[in-house]
Amino acid sequence: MCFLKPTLSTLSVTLLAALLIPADARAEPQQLQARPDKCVSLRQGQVCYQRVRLSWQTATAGDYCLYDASDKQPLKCWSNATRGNTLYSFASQTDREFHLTRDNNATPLAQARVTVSWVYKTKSRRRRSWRLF
Amino acid sequence: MVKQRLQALVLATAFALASMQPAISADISHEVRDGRAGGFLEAGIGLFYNRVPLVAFIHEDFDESDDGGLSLHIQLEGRLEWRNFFAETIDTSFSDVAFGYTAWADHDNTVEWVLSSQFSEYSPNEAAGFEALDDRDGDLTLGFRSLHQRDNITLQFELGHDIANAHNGLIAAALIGRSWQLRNWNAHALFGLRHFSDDVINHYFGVSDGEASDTVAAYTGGSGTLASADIGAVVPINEDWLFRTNLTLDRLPDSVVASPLASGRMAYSVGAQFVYVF
Repeated sequence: MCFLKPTLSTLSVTLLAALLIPADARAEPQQLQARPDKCVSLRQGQVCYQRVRLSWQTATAGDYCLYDASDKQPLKCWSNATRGNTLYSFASQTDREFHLTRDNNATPLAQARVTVSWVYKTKSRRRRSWRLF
Repeated sequence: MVKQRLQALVLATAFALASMQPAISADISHEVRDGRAGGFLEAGIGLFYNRVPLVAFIHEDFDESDDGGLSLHIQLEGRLEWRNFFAETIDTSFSDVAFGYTAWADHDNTVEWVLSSQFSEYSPNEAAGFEALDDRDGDLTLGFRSLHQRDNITLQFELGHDIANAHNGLIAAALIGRSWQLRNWNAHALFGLRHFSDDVINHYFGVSDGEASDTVAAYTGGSGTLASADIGAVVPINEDWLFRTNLTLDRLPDSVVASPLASGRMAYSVGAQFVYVF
């Protein structure tokens, strides 16, 4: 019964994973997305502006908060929710990371990053120099 | 012809120079518009509406020379640097192409020796009634250019003398520009004065006794100053593409406006283009 082998193998892996992965993690395939996830400015070093839609979903209803990783204050919190989204006014010179937490737990359940790029890379001007005389 | 030869030389130089060095500066119009110094290469395509009230500049019919004209604009703009030498062609600059050598530079100031083409060949005889006029050769000026940066303000001074024996005149310019960031848009404003000695004005806009006819009177003009203003904005579309728009106004010198080859005082250009940055 060769055709059964792949099916049995898949089942074995699934059962093994179920035994090894903690129950909490198994119950919450969390997802956090930032769209768009890139902000482009004209020159390197400029503040880049972008309206970013941050959306999340989990398998388990609960109290969730969304954070800008560089800020202790949450951007927005939801109660007894399995999903949510918010529009965020992104303004930064560098990449920013966002994360989703549950019940004020410090450990992020999911993360998303908005990267900053540019068209013109800033080039350093030369130091003072005489070349002619 | 001079313009075409120099443009060909710029392209040849572009391929010949293997390495692009960290840069110092470029013409003020690029420095202010894009806020960036150094080597670069861009290609753009866009639509522009131009009005230049000079015979045969846009329209061959003198009666229409006051009217504007819509044109598809394809540009190749760039600056290449090797050691202290550079070659550049900046679309919004007065000079078509320039070659030079950076003599002095610090963080905010540069002084460059510049060989450039300020005027390309002008053929007013393409207009009906002006057939008796000779072609005006393009020039080649040698001089210096200095740029000074203070915060978002850039100053540029230029002085050049024709060495191609086209008009043997002197051209001096002073320009000031400022840029602002408005969210991801970068706006700029430029104002400049460009003075031409009488040799320059007469070469391009004078009419000699030998050229004069029943329809075109002889004319000798004095020196004059062109005032220019440019406002515009640029926004990145992605890491490679830009959208750029600008309006340029030029107030021709009195000695040009009085020439039989002029039909008005104000020239302008307004348009928008998509630019690919290499």
